[in-house]
Amino acid sequence: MNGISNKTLLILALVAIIISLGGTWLSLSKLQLSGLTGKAPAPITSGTAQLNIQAQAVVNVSQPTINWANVAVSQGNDSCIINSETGTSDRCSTCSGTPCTVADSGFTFHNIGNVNINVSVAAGKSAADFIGGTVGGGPVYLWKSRNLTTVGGYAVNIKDTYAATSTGATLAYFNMSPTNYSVGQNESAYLDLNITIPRDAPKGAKTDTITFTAVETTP
Amino acid sequence: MKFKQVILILALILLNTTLVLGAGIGSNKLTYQVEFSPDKQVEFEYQLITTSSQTMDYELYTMNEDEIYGAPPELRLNLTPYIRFEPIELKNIAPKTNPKFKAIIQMPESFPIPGEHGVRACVQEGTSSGGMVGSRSGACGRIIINIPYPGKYLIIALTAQDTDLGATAPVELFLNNRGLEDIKEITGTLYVYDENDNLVKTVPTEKTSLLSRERKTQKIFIDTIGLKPGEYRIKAEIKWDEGVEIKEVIFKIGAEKVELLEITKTYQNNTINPVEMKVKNNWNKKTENIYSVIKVSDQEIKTPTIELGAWSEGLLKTYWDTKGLEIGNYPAEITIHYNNKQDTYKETFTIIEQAIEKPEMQKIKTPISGIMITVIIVIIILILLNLVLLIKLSRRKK
Repeated sequence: MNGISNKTLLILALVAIIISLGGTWLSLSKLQLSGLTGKAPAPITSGTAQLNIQAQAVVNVSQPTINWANVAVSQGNDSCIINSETGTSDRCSTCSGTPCTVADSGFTFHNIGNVNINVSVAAGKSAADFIGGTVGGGPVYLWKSRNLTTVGGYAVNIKDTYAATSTGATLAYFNMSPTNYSVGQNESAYLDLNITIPRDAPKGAKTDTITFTAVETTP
Repeated sequence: MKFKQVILILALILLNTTLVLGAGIGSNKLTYQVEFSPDKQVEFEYQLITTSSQTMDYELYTMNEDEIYGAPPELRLNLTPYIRFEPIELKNIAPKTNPKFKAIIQMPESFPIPGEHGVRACVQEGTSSGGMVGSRSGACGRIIINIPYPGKYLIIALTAQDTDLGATAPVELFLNNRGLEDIKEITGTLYVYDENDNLVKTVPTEKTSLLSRERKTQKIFIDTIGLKPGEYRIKAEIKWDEGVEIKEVIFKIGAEKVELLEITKTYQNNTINPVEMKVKNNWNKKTENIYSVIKVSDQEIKTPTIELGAWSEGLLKTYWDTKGLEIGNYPAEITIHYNNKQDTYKETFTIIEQAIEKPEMQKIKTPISGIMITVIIVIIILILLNLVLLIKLSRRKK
């Protein structure tokens, strides 16, 4: 017979009883009870309920990368331009990533905290450090903030036209409202990049990091 | 399917998953105001809010607000050397663990520049989302330190809320002594002016005094008896130990009235014309059930109902069918209904001849026939032959 024998079952039952008794003893010793008296404590007639609602400033980047993948300047040109807002490449012989063809491929950010926030952005590198090269006016690394959905805030400073990126914190969005799930309000914005790559830019993988920082809008 | 294949597929799915990144800061308050006190240590507790699905390090750092806001160099005070974090770093933070950390300010014996100076306690993700251009996020809490001025230093602020006829207009006068010395006496008067700059009311403020770094708020209620709906200006003249300060603020007195601002007056004949009315709610509260009924040329046309917030404008829209009506002027009676009230306006609508766009004559491009193409090619060949012959002749001459 392949089944468990009565002897084995008895051993297992004994082990289970020993473990549960040990657990009970441990729990009681941790609770540091002086002993069970059998008498109920005096009823509590009043108490204080304390509730502390925390203020939270949280910026969420739901489209957190821009990946143009393989990009090369087409023959006979000094530079090529790629733009995450329009999803286009100009004078590039190759541009294989999704943002090369799909519009609105920039960073998308919104407020998932519970206070209104200002959002600042900072690039990790300058155009020369990120892209490099000198031909055709040299490398260009630009950004622009624009509203995706609006509730009470708006894009500021680097809106309307593309501006040179900065490694210092630059206010990009003012007074972004927190996402209100019950009302269906989700204020969100884009940070688009527009990059010009010179023909003589050093070859290889290019990376940079944009930092999004939230600060409560002055109450 | 083999185990290795399953693992490979899972790895590929994980690699293709779009990361949702976000980091924030939580606290009882995200903007703290602190009064300077020599050698005082103040602690502020924050909590890191993570949304990343990865275990990662988080960076703690400070920022000088005077620099962020571009204060003139002679008024800049860098508070970042006086702030430290506990713990000093946040390493290997698992998703949703949200650890707490403290920003501790150790104030010196004195600061060289008085006034309001800010410092930010910030946290940010230590890892980028990757990709060609990746991102990371963070957040900051603000700590404002009020450093007193030598002597007496009074800061005044005045606010007023809009109201309606029959109610009172609440006015708040904020007094703040940012100086090291006490202010012994503060008195003042509020002068209320109408839209034509006529003085319509005078209200005294409460006589008071302020200790060093003390703040007080006076609530004053201005009654609207004898006043008409409209915009008013309050000029507060505040007398204190070291002179007189003037502050001004505007407030509105509303009435339960929806006003017709503009209406379409010119229409085309023999068509259905849109009729648009721009209306404004002159009440300090939301007004519901706003609609309009227009009586014109034996027709009665009605708009859908809208609602307007306090002091806001909106558009009422309907259509007027002018089929069978002659060109000319038509008297119109427009009644604006709101709540249980109504106001009637008289206007003249004008019907003009319908502008019919005449199609423009377009030039037809002559198609190039096959014979034309042949002729052009022959001409080009002949020109080229001539050129070749000319070049050969010029060489023989040489």
